[in-house]
Amino acid sequence: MQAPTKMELEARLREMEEARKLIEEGRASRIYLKFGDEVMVEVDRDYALEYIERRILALKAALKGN
Amino acid sequence: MAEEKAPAVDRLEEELRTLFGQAESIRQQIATIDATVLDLATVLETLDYIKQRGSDKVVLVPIGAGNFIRAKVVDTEHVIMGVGGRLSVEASIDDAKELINQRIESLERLRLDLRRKLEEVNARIREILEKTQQGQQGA
Repeated sequence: MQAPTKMELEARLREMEEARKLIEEGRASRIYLKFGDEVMVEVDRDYALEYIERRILALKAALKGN
Repeated sequence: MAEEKAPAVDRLEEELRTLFGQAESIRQQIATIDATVLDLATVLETLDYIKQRGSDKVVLVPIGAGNFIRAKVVDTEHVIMGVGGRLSVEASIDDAKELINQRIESLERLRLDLRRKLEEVNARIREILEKTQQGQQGA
């Protein structure tokens, strides 16, 4: 599998920041996280925001190393 | 004299190879953006239809390998949208449309930047080809 390009990483980072904004503004009535290939589980707001923070940090680290 | 020119020609050929690679990569990125924008436009059309006429409509739900089951739309006000990573959120159709339109606008800006970059790369390719042709005619 090819490593993501800088452009792809930046796009993923933008997506995550938009998702955080959407949740923080209370515009997401339910939030789901995919576990495995298909199963989506409803998660609470705090768990989703924690997940987003972790992904943002990982994407920023990947961008630094890119 | 010809021996002195060789390293410069080598450098130009090397640069040309790099530029061809860059141009191809940019063209691929533009093609990916075009496909994504088209995909998002289809989603917008679907959301409009569901909101306006979807109530109680029968839809076909894919269950794999080209097989479907019939199902009824029970909610014409919300959509579950992928927002990146493993995350999906339920949002109102109006909010989802707004977000999708923002995504399309941002992709279109990116496509414009890439087209400009491609034009610069192509201009440099033309410049080098002209130089090498002049060099061949002069030799």
